Amino acid sequence: MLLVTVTALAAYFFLNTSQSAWLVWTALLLAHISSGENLFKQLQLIFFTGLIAALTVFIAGCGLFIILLAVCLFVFTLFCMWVSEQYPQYFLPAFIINFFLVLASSLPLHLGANSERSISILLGTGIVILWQVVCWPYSKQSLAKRLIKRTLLRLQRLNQDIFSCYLQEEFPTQLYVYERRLHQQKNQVMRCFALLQTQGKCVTDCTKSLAALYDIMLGYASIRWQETDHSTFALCAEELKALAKEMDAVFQQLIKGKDKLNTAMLTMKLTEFEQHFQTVLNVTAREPLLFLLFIFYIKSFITTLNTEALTRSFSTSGEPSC
Amino acid sequence: MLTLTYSQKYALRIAITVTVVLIINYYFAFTEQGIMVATGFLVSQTTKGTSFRQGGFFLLTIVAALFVFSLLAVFFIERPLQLQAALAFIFIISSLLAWKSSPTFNKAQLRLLIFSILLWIVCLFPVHHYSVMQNQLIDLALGAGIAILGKHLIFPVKLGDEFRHDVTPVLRAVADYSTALINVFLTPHQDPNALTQKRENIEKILLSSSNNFPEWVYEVGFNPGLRSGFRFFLIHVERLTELYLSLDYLTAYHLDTVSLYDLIPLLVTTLKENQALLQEIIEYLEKKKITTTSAHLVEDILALETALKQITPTSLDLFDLSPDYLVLTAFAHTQKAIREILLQLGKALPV
Repeated sequence: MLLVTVTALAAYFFLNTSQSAWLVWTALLLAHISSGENLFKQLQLIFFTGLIAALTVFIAGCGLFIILLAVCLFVFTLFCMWVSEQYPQYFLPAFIINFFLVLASSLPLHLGANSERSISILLGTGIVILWQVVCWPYSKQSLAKRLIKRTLLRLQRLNQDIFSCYLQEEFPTQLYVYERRLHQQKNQVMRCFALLQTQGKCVTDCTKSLAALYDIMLGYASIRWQETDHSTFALCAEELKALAKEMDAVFQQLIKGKDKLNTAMLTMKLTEFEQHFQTVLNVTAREPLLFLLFIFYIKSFITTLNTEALTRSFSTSGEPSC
Repeated sequence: MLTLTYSQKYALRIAITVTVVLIINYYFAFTEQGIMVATGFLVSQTTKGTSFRQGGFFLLTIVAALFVFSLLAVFFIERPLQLQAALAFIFIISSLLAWKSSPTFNKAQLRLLIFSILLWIVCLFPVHHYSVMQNQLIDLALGAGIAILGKHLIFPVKLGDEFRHDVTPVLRAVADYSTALINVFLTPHQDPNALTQKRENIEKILLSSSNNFPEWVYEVGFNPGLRSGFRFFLIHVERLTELYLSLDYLTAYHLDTVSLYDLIPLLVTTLKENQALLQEIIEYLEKKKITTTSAHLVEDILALETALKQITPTSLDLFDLSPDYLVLTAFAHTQKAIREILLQLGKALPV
């Protein structure tokens, strides 16, 4: 993005025409397009978006009679908005084309300047394509690892939000706020999984382990609403806080790529929670079975964390070989 | 009679709105510029049921962009390269925020980029005098007003129908997953990828970018009259998906088959009953009528619990020694929770 911006600004400086701003903004907007698949598909998408944008801008900007312009705008907007709604993965390309068309229809120019504007859009497209090709080997290599880290970060945040549902007293009264937050975090995790699935076999084992972690988290997350008396969580608030802190620390170890994962502290905190369960929750909780299942899920969480596929993928020495 | 899908209505609505704004801009605009059209186009990009709130947000952002640009212009008007660099810098910062919020671009991300995009629009329609800015503000308000009106007058969205339409795919995906789960118990040697595919299908639908999940119900400013009912239903649907996805881990657990043997028929009965209830809810959402009524609402769950009690340790302490029983207990408990959710969803349906 930075390289694209610097190149576009340099081109703006050297070309120094009245329409060069279109070059910069085409480059900036097209740099966001990602097909999430291979380089060829990505380049195709960027190229056709730039080309169609340049053509429609040229047509709309050549000072058409108002009725003709209105028809042109209507037809293109209809098509672009239908594509963006029907095929959400093409939302950005359709939006860029439509947006440029709307702007050009408001800024009619004489033939020379209008051609200059379309050429600027094509040049901006060229800059994005150039840097996509140059940076592809680097981005391809590190993409899998970056995606794994991003997934872990999202799982960590989801875990924090799950524990905040247990620990915050206002959870029953502010239900929608907490549920929306969880919905967003789950959405982010699933989006990361969807991207990981495009990375091929090199991350399959790791994705499976991460998916297992996610399933386990969903398992203990449901206790937030299954426990009908929310004040029960106050009885084990300190233990829950300690567990949440240690789980956070373990996620941090994974994100930082520690060679050896240390879950001893987390296991110790879980043992403390178990003792608390035996002495307090087992007697006072309305449904002690829920907390027993909570312990089971946390144990499964630790076991999954220690699977070889997961630890190997995150260690600094274990780069996924794509 | 020609029936249009939501995507077609959506596209037609925006196309008509933008065309109307273009014509009004041509004949009645206070400035010679076309900022009204750009405003109309951007304000029409609001989600379902939130046009006033989000439209107002877009309008305020445009006004803010106008003022910020005026300030920037004081410093950079004679230095266009620096001006473009400053605008690009603001754009990169908002891109980073958008990327942090989600790695793939969707409609929600647009709101994070909107300010910097608007700065560029304002840069294309520069202000040289206070009176021009005043006229621009009037044009902006007109453009936004027409877009909001268009949203309410052209193919107005029937939120109830849209909600039903959007929530059905996820329930159908869950029902498919449930069928695959039943098959896992009935035919243990079947293709393990069958369940994974069904699971991925649920996840795909849940993703907001797929447009198949009524995420718009969560948007700030959503219709206050419908908000609580729709959100109640949606939260329960999400809890249902959480429970089904958590079963994935339990299903993959390698159990001692002997202990499981007696429970298989009971587990399958419960799974089937849950699926039947789910199917009834889907049928209601699609056809607005209840086709059948499940006779067994709790009996199968009670039978499962009783059978489980007979084979699992009586003391909770002993569970620790036998993780297999914990997995079974978790499975049975999840089935019970699914039943509770389904019954609550069933009760929430308007008769």
